[in-house]
Amino acid sequence: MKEEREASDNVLLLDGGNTLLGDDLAQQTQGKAIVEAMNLLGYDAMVLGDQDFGLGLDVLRQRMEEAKFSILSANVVMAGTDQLFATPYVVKEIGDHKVAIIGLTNQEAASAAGGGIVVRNPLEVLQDVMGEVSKEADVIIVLSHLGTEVDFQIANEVQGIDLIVGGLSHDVLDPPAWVEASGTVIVQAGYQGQRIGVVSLRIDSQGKVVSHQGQVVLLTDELADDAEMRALLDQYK
Amino acid sequence: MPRIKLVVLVALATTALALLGCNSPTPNPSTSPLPVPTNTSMLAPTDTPVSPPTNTPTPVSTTAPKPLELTVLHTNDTMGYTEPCG
Repeated sequence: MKEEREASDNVLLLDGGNTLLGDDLAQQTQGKAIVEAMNLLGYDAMVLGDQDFGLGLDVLRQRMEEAKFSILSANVVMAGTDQLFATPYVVKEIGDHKVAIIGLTNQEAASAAGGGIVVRNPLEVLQDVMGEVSKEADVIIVLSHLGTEVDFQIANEVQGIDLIVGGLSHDVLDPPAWVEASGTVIVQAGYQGQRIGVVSLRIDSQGKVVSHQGQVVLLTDELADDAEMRALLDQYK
Repeated sequence: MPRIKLVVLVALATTALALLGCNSPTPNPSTSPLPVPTNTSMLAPTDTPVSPPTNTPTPVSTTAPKPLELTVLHTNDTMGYTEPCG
């Protein structure tokens, strides 16, 4: 990540969800150590996946307050209301462009949370949000915790999305998929932190992606530890 | 003599009316909101006098946004794993 950031000023670090719970450290700290690690890494945004709701709504809200990055979901509302549980999207200015990042959560989040929320149909919500977002941004990224199959459906049915960063189905899309009909690029990088995806988008003055190139990098023990990150994680041992 | 008196009286009355008009009480301020001035000038800021229109076209910036090379690093379903396990 540091190498990529040194190589370019225009880098986004995004996560496709199911991130805060799972391994021992995450369980023991109820996701707190993970949020701190993500803060240190400089994440820009993540979408809430069903497992993240396993923290329970109150703890999850606490983690969201601790996060220095955007935790998104456009289609989760509090039960019996229209009130969104999280920020639906964020717009970032990068160069001369405005880049919107929208979050979409899978249906299983409602049962994982143990009630209290309703997960709305992600495609219907996305159609609505796109109308709003396309007025505010010229580049649109969707963080989708919906699985690759639904990501393809979105790319085929919804115009105007430049990139879908996926999750849930644990697929390794290497190289990235590309839907010609819409020009949407779809990426996903496996699971359990085994890999990180890198995709470069060349965007023209109108905000259209004219070319893309990507790969998924396997993270092995051969990569040296980052001293700051090691110190952070060692606090919890 | 009565004619001159009449003329003088008319002149005095006119002056009095004019003076009354000047000193008449100010009407109550309107409770309706004042219109907000809108700066419709694209050429000059509000605190500078507006130049009379000329036929000389004012240059307007037409600089298009620059193309962008955006790198997106992405992870998913890390499930709290913090050690490289690939």
